[in-house]
Parts: sequence; structure tokens; C-alpha cells
Amino acid sequence: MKMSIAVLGSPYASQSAHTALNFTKAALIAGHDVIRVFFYHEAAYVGNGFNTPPQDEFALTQQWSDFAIEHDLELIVCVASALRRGILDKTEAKRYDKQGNNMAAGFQIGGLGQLIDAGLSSDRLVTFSA
Amino acid sequence: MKTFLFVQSASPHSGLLAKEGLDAILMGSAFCSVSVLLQGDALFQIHKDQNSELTQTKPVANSFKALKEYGVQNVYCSEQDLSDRGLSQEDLVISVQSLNSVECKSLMIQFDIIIGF
Repeated sequence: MKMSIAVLGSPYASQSAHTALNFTKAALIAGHDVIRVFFYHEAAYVGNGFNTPPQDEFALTQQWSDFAIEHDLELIVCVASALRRGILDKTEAKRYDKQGNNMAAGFQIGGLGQLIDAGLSSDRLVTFSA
Repeated sequence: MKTFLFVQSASPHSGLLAKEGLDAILMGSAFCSVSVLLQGDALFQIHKDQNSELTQTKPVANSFKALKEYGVQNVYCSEQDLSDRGLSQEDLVISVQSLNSVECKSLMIQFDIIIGF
């Protein structure tokens, strides 16, 4: 089955992105295709590569990055959600004249149209709400 | 073409979820057939006479008025949610189709995709 995942919850104020990661791993193991993972609303913070939890804590952003790179997954962070929360890739940082960029490896900036497209082009769109 | 139901559940001034949900609705309406269900306190998103200037936020209710121009014909709510909040159609900036609990359940199964905010 072709699946897409929408994640809405903040990484440290909800279980959303953590459960979504476990679900996505399970979906791949079960043989499903995961077409896209779309981070929207507070879940934009998951794409913050500057997240630096203590070494004995679960590193959510790092885990998503490693998982995406290993499985060639498309992780999209909505541009509007990301920018207003200070999550910028190199291009956006340059465009808005900001000093640094912090988009984590394996994540890409994208638009809301990709959430709708994920729904249209998948058999299931599974939302992990805020 | 697939049909989308966007379920809004957030109250209008409890964070950005109402606005970001609405942005997704507007984007969705550009691509496909979109309907909206306002659940619980999300009904206050379309309450008349909100003054969002006082909270330095953008008025969400105004964007709902534009939904028709975006081709979103159907906005639903449950009768119970309306009456629980002491609201009637006259208190709202757009007209909504209020459904009883049986109709609410059968609404859900009519759509290919349901996205909740």
C-alpha cells in the first residue's frame, strides 16, 4: 500500500512525531511504500538540526534524519510553518538574510501543496495530530 | 478525483492550529473537492464580532467568508456542538450545515481523505 504521513505535534510537547516515527518504521517493515512524510504546524520543530538533547535521551530529530537517509524517505517541512518557527535551510536563510541555517539532514523545505498531493497520490494519508 | 474532509477542532485563539488548518483547507481547495467539519470549540472560529486586533493575530473568521470563492461549498458542524456553546446560525459569519449525531457519523465515511487539525 502507498502511504503518506502527516505529523502536526511539537517534538517536546506531544508524542506525535515519536509515534509517527515508530509507525513509519513499522509500515516499511510490513512492506508498505511511504511516499512522503509531511511536517506541519508545531512538527516543523522536528526539522531543527540544532536540537541537541542530552546523550542519554532519545534524539528525535537525529533519528528521523538517519531513518530518512537510510531508506531514501522524503521528509518535507512546510515552508510557512518552518519559517515562522525559525527553521530555515540554506536557501531560505539567504533569502531572508539570516545568519545561520538549521534544517536537519534528510529534511527538505516544501509547500502545503505537497500535503494535498500526498493525500491524492497515496492509498492512505495517516495524520499524527498536535 | 478524491474528496477531502478537513476537520477543524481548535479554538480560534489557542495557538496557530486554527490558522494553519485553514491554510491547508485553502490550499486543498485549489486541487480537489474540499469540505469542512467544524468540531467542538472550532465553531468559535466563525463566531461573529471577533476583534483579533486585540490579540495581534489575523482574523480567522474573515478567511472563512472567502471559502465559497475557493469552491468550498460545504461547511458542517454538529447540532450538539452548536447548542452546547449556546450558538445559533445568527452568531456565525457563514452558514453551516448542522448535523445530528447519526448524520455526523455518515458524513465521515463519504470522504476519501480526512485530515484533522
